[in-house]
Parts: sequence; C-alpha cells; structure tokens
Amino acid sequence: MRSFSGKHPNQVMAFLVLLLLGLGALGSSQQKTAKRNGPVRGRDPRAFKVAKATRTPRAKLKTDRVLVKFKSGVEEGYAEAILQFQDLVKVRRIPGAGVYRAQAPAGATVREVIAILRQNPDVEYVRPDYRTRVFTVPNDTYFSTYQYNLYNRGKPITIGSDIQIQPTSGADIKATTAWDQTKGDAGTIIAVVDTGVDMTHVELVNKVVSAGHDFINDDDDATDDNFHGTWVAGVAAAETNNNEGIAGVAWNCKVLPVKVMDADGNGYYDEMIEGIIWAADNGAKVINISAGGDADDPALEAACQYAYEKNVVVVAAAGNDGPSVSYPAAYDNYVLAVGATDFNDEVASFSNPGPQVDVAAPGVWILGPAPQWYVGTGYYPYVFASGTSGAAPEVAGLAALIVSQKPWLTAKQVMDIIRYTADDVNKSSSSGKDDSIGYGRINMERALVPYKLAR
Amino acid sequence: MKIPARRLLLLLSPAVAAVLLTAGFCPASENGAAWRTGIGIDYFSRTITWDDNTRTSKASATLVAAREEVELRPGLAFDLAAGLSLSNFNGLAFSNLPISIDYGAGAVSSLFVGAGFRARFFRHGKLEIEGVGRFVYCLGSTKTWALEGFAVEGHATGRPSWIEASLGPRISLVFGGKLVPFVTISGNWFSGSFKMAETLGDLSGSEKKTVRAKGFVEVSLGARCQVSKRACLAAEAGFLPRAGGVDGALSAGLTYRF
Repeated sequence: MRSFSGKHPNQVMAFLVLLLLGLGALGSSQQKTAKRNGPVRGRDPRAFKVAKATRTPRAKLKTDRVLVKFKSGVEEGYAEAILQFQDLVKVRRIPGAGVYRAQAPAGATVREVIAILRQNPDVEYVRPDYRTRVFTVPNDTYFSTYQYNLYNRGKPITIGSDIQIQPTSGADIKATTAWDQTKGDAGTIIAVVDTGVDMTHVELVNKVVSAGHDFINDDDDATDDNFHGTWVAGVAAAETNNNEGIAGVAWNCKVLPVKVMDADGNGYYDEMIEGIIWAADNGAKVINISAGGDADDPALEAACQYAYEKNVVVVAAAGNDGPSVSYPAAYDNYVLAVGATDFNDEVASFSNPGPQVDVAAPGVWILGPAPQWYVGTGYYPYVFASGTSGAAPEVAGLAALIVSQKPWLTAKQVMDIIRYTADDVNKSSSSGKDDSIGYGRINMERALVPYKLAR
Repeated sequence: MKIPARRLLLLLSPAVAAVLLTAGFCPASENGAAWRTGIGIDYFSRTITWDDNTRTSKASATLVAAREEVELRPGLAFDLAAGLSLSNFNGLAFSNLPISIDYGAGAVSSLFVGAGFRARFFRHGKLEIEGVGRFVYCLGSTKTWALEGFAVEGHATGRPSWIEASLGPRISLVFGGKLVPFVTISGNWFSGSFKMAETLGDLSGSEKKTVRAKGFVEVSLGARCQVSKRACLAAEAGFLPRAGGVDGALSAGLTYRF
C-alpha cells in the first residue's frame, strides 16, 4: 500500500474529502467541495481547505411502478396485454426474472394498480417496485493521506484541518500480507451495480472490461453521473502499483459497470433486478451492490438467487442509519451482507444491524476515486467517504481474489471462507456471530494465505 | 492402551536388535535352511516432488519393525518385515482445499509391511556379489488436527501412505573375520500420497497429493558383524544423489538365528 505522503512526498495528492454518512439522497445533500490552493505537489495536505457538508436526513422515496409476476403458463403477449389494458405504461419484462415492470398511469396510485391486478387470476403476485438508493450521504469532509482500511499502522491520520484520528494498529483487513499470496486474476470480473463508473478515471480506465450497461437510460454506456459507483469500483479494484492514486483490494481483477441508479443516487428495484441478472449473464464472478432498499421483494430475491445459482458471489452493503439490514443484503441465502467498522475496529455507528449481517469491513473515511467533473476543476479526483457502501467493495474485492485463486469454488464456499476467516473484533462485548458485524471484520490474510498446520 | 509412537520408538531402539528391510546381512548357515528373527530401525530422508513436479519438499520416515528371514540355501534368502512407521511430509501444500493448508505437523504414525530378498550370484575369493531387493508399503493411518483461529470450529485430517522399492547388486568383501563390509548400488523408487481432508463449519473438502522421490539411485555403504555364533549386527548408510543434492538413509539392526 502506498500513502500520499511519507515515502513519496513529491506525489502528495490533494483530495476532496467527503464524509458520507447514512442513507439518503445524494443529490439533495448540501455537499461542498474543497478547493486546491496552488500547486499540490509537496504540499502539506492540511493546507487544503475543507468545507463542511451537512448531513441529510434519509429521504423516503415513493415509487410509481409495480412489479408483476404472472403464473406459469401465461404467455408473454397475454401478460403484456393485461398490463396494457390497465393503462400501465413503460411495461417491460425483466429477462431471467420472469417479472414485468410497469408504471402506474397518470392519476392512478400504485396502491390502486396493485388492488386491480391482484383480482386477476393470472397474476401470481404484484408488488410495488420499491426504490433503491446509495448508502452514503455527505458529511463533514476532510482528506487523509493513506488507506488505513487496507493496512493500518496505527499512525495518526490528519483529515482536513480540524480532525485527527488515532487508528489502532492492525485494525485493517490485512491486505498487504494477502497480496503476497495473490493479486487477483484479470479474468475475474467484479460487477459494480451502482450509479455507473467513470471509465476515464486513471484508477479505472484500464480496469473496466466494457462500457457495461445503463439500466437507467437503457443503453450500453454505464458512465457514472453521480460519483458513488466510481468510488465503490475504486475501493474494490482500483489500478494498483502504478505509482499514483490509491490501491484497490483486487489488484488485477476487472470491473464491469452496471448503472442502476441515477445521477441523484436513486433507482428502482426493477433496475437493480435487471442489473443483477445482466451482470450474472455477462461474465461477472462477483457482484457488488452498495445500495438497496427497505422493502423485501421476491423478484429482487429471485435475481440474487439467479446470480447465486450461476456461482456468482453477491456482496451487498447492509445499509446505514437504519434499524435493520436493507435489501438485497438481507437475502441471507444468496447475498453476503456487509456491515462497517472503523479505524479502531469498532462497529461503525451507522452500520445497520441484523441477523443477516455476515461480515464487516472498514467503512469510515474510506478513500476512493471520483469523477473529475464531480470534484471540480483543480481538485484531485478522489473522495473520502463513509458508509457500508465503502465496506462492501472491500469484501467484494476479497471475494474476487478468492475466486481468482480458486475458481473451482462455489459461491457459497467463497462466502463461507469470507465469513469463517473474519476477525471477531467485538468479541469482548459480543462473542461469536452477532447482529452488528456478523462473524467479524474480514481478514484477507486468513482467507488467502494457507493455514499453517503445525504440531 | 495406546503407546505414543515416539515412546515406542524410544523403548525399542535400545534393543537395536534389528536388521530391517535390507535383506540378509549375515552369512547363512552352511547346513541348509535357516530362520532368523530380528528387529531393527531404519530412517530415510528424501526429496520429493509433487504437483506435476512443480513443487519440492522433504519426506522422511523412521521405521521400527520385527523381521523374519528364511535362508533357503546359502546365498538365497527371503524376509518379511512389519512394524511402525513415523512418516513426516512437512512442507506439502494443499492449495485446492477451501482453506489452503501448508502441512507442518510432523510425523504421522502408521503400520508398514515389507519384503525383501538376496541372491548370491557371484563369488570369487573374498569378493561376493549378490542381488538384493526390497519392497516396503506404509499403509497409512489418519491423524486429526484442530483448525484454530477461525470463526467456527474446524479440523483437518491427514493420511499419508507410501511405497518404496529398490533393486540392485551388493558387493561384499568376505575377509573371513567377523566384519564384512559391503557396498550396494541400487535403483530406488519412492512414491506416496498424502490425503488431507478439511472441515470448517459448512466448508469441507479433501485433496490428495501424490509425491515421488527425485532421485532413483542409491549407493549405500555398510558392514555386518557376527557378534556370536547366532547373532549378527549390521548397519548401513545410504546416499541418494539427485539433481541439486544428496538424500540419505540409515539402517541398523540385529538378527538372531534359531
């Protein structure tokens, strides 16, 4: 791992620092950015201005769509005719899930549409097409100089001008020792089902396998118009060992961008469902979902099951500032739910608890790439952010390394390896698997380095 | 009561009354068939290759056994042996298991059986040339270790087994005294396997590692000593050249003719 100071003082980078806490709409947040003052190289990072960001309460997003599943034997044409007869618009079948998405007509509520469709004997179920959102909300923003989450040496980190954190040495995911064992395989693809990816970013330009797919605009260009997906992709698999920027967890693995949320960081379940299925069908071995919704939905679960049964490891963030694990992370049978810890191996206060939480990873002050347009001219294209959104791609990166190392393993085996090799960092208060961090904070070394069987 | 393998070895070794595996150290009776009983100790350390010859490590074994030999006529003898083997395959890496394991847990005890022969086909003055051969099969037994440091309980179970066979001429110098030195040049073939099974929570898997020795030629120097009319002591040191070095083997034992 490299830092942005110390060994390479001439390569000190300035970063826009965003602390993104809690669930909420990114677009409505009152985030401010830090401006760079003059030349950056060799500057003390504390000289950079850091603006405050206001935390935005999590917003409830109303849906105007429904998901409809017809009973087996109902032909597609007949099913679409039923939906069109109800004046539903934007009717679309989600391949692989066997579910139709449809938007309520003007003047009708989703509840009314559901009530009508439920009377149809050919309909197996009809549910609201719930909304998704990314798991980060800007907060006070500062920047740091290195990625404690990968290798924590216990040295103080100055973030901005008025925050200094004192990490605990070893409170990290043991990446450096694991990288001695494997740096991943270029054939292992991590699908980032998110807001898209900035495919021109120096950390990702050589890492994306294709332009992916945009389920928001329904085209084959999953360019990020938010920043979240770029940040997540970088945490998982940024260009590493290239003398600049940050290190990704999965050095050599590739990224498949799948855009299922819009510029505001919001989306519908149907887009996520399609995104998951599309990713599974297009070569992904690991799917990272640093997003989710509050409602259970069988079609979303079916999409996760579809990927799981194709031996794709689905990793999802547990969510932030909520009472329980979000969906799809809560689909325990098919998804690895990830909570967050901090730089002291303490449970992050925002991390959603629940019995579905499998593991945790550092999710506070996680540095990742961001689009240049997002941070603005004169800023370095990186952000610090917090949330289970940042923890999940660390786990996805580990999953990709395991798959690279042992491609014959099943998705369940990969998930179990990640679970069983975790460090129970809160065992003094809650020994064993618990609702906060599941089996514990992931330990890449234990997952990837052979166990020494001694006398 | 189960006697630990090391203690058993310790108890038996002072007796050092064995010739093991190396057939017929002592001269035969000139009065027809003779039976000899003995015990002995044998040790070897071999460089082994595995994973399609891409990996190398050491295998060693200490063998303690009882042996029965019958000499049908002077210069022609067969023997059978059975006993305890302590087989050490430290250094094997099981990387196909869900959680890879580097083996370093030392020796695993198990039973072995062996058979050998010697046949004299040339004698001129003090020079005697025999053909000697032996075969040893270590049956293998399982040993279980706890897997520690994981979030769930787990264990690994290992089972090593191996076969060794050798065949070659032995040249002895029979001075007529009690001490007879000899040199043996033989082809030596060693092959084995180590099956490792792993269970950790819901995870399980097994991997079998097939190994074989790097060297195929053994040159051994030894001597036998007639300590009494019926008892014979013998010792032998073997050298097994291979690419990049030399492996070794030692054996010693005592036989008694009834």
